[in-house]
Amino acid sequence: MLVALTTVAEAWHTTETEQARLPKSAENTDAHTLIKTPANRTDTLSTYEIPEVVVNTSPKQDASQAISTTSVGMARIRSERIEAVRDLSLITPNLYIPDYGSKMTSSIYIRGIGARIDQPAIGLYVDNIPYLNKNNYDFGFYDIRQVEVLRGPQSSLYGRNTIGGVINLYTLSPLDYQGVRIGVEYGSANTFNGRVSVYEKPNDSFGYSVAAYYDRSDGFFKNAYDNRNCDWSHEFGFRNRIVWLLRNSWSIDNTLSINNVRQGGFPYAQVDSTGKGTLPVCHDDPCSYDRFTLSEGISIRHTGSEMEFSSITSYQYTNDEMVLDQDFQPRPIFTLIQSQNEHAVTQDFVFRTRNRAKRWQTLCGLFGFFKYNDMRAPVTFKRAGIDELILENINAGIHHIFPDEDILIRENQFVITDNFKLPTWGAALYHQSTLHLNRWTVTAGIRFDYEHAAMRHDNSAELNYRFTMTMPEYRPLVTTMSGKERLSFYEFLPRLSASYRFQSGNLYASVAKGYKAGGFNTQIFSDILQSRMMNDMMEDLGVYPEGSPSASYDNASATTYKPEHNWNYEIGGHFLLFDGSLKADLALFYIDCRNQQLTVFPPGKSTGRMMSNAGRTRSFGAETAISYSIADFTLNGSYGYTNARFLSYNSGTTSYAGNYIPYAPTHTFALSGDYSINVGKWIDRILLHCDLRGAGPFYWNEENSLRQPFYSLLGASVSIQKQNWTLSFWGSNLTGTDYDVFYFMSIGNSFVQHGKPRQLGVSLQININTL
Amino acid sequence: MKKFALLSLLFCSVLFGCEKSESETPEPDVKEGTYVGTVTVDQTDGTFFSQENVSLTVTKTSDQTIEMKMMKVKFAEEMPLTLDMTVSGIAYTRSETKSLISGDNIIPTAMGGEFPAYTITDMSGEITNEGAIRFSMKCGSFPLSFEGTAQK
Repeated sequence: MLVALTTVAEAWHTTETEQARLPKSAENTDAHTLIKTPANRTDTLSTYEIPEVVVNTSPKQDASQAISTTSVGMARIRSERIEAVRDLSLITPNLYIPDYGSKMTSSIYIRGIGARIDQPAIGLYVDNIPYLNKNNYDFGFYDIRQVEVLRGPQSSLYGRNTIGGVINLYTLSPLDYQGVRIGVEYGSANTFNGRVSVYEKPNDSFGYSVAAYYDRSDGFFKNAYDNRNCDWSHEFGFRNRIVWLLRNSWSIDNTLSINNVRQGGFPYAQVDSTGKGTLPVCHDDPCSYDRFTLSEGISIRHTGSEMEFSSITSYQYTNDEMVLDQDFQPRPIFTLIQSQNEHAVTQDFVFRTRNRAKRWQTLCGLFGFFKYNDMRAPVTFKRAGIDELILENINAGIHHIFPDEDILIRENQFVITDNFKLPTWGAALYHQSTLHLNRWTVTAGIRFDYEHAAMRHDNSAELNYRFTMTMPEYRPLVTTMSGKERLSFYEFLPRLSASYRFQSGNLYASVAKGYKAGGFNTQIFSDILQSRMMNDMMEDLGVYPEGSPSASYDNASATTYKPEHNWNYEIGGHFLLFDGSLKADLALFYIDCRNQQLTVFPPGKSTGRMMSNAGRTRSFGAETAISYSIADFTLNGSYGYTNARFLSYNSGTTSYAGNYIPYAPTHTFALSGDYSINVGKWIDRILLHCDLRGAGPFYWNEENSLRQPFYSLLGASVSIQKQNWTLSFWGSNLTGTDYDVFYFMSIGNSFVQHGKPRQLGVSLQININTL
Repeated sequence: MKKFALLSLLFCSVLFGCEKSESETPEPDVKEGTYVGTVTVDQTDGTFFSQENVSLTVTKTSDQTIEMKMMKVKFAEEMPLTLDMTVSGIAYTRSETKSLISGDNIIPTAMGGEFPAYTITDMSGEITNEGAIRFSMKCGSFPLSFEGTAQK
């Protein structure tokens, strides 16, 4: 009885045992009937692709869990041109990942939760390997078999930084597919990408794959200063996966990935004096981002008759450098070079029962991680910056008494050196029990999470100055600041859910606590040292301006920010209707958030930014997704509504209670249709695809004085298939919609980044199956 | 035995030395240290500006001179800043209960160098042995007085 009742619910999540029944060849169309999940039945592209089965191989997830999930298979990944994590934006309700800045800036907002810098709101796992550094989230997708977005806090199983959810990516396994896959694409802005991958299975228990890709683009935005494109990019990636099924039910799955990025980026345009238009992108100093990452992860799994054991070990190395003209103006004001060299290791042990006939299922886990980041972030003040950001402030007071006298700085540029060493480690113990009672499933989980973070900082600046009235010669001034700060967090992260299954779906309710780690505001140190330098100069002179506001961040201990916590209350349901041709999901949620982490820009002509804990926020909303398939037509749609506001947040001078939380869209919307036409002789079939995605409105600041109205983007493609090749002509933002994806302030000036314009292209995909 | 004799000699010399220093009473001298008091400046327009809790350090620089440093002082309500001002070469003479101070044509230093526009003239006052200080002077064209007590 229990098995029968779970059939519908588990149709969404084919488990590993089903995965083992996958067809041997991607071209084996008969094999598609083996597993009639809603996904493959509704996906007309799957016939010529690798079968669209759900390949959930997470040792933590279970089909019976009451979670809002968006799963995207390989065919939809291709038809909707999901080429990176950010492209999951909008097709997942209430998930918004704006495409701005560089591949470093993967800001994720979900259900009103998110942050521009530091800790991510969503965890990212690739083949169950956690990506600890948000800087690594943006990489080119290739041969991603399945994407699974778990919405709502997943902290009881995944721990830190999964306060808004988890994205699980599963790459194509060499045990599921054998052959050669080649893809080339050319599009607007001289954009080219090429992908090649080889999958081999020498015997039934061993398979390996090698995949590589290269992307390049001239970029879409011109820097008016030198009339060159500023957002050019080159990216290279490599992945090697080895899967080995050993005797006695042991298996080893090893994935090694390398990614290298060189790009311009940061096409930020200054808002003009009317506040309604923008000036051209124009900056005199270069902007770029370089990144090298290496990820090595090994999963060892033992599947017994009663228990399953998994050990997932990973090592990640990140070496990146961001070069910024941080004033984004055609004047020599100030620049930043931020480089990071980070090593991270993780270890996760998971034990869980696997006898589905038993009413009680348990899962226990032990997780630990350590990462060490050596960060250098020198800020160079140039002549105009020295005059306007430093001397203007100092001389304002001096001129009240001595209007004809000045303080001068001899250097045309000087460097504020900011060096940081950031070791962080954590450990967690977690448990989850699931009780099946006829149609009911009750799941309770709890996780104890401990994290310790430290920051050793060494900051200094040196210059020569003089006061024209009293000092005939320049005098050296050296300002230094060094120290160590520590943070520790203990968290108990419970989750409780109940679901009720019926013939055509299930209904569920859940309550869960989420947690985002605290940290250090390294990006405010140049402001701190600049402030200290001015104080040192004043003290050296024996002059103390009156009434100058004392910055709240004028010492290192004030640069920490606290963890963010939320409670997510949710009800929802999954429905399969009309013999499974219509799949629908619905969720209603309410989130009570304490100490929400927000990026704020200190008042005045400040040069940094910092994370601040908003007092309290709340967010409620609704999400729905449908997938409908009839004959050769497939329709996918999603809609998300979020009403996220401050309940109490005072910046020190202003209360923002009642205002919308910045950067989080109120509405997200996506609708796509795929239609397949069988042709016959010269070509096998024509595939038509059309999608419309929209988001907004967004408020850019806490005052809610600036906003981006709702916008939508139209995309379409026409694909021609013949045996093992597919030729596609595609376009995105076909209507040429003007919209902004990002807003920020630098030294009191407002900037935006415009969304990418209309893009057109052609792509060719060839699959050569060897079995 | 030889070692014992040497140690005894050393002990006696230390003891003698201690007794000698305790029996001497130091010559009363100008009382150095930090004073806190009120600065009053005649604005020469019939009004006066006062600033309380101004710190002033007195440091002896020779047998006849001292240096005074006024910390974070302002001389008019409209001044948007306070500053440290040092007056060196102030002459003093001792009496039994106090030191009399005086000075004329002293260029003070402030804001990193000499400040001839605020040359000190007609300075006179006293520092008592009990730790009271009072003096008056002209700072440029502005008559200024200070009255305070030593911080313990």
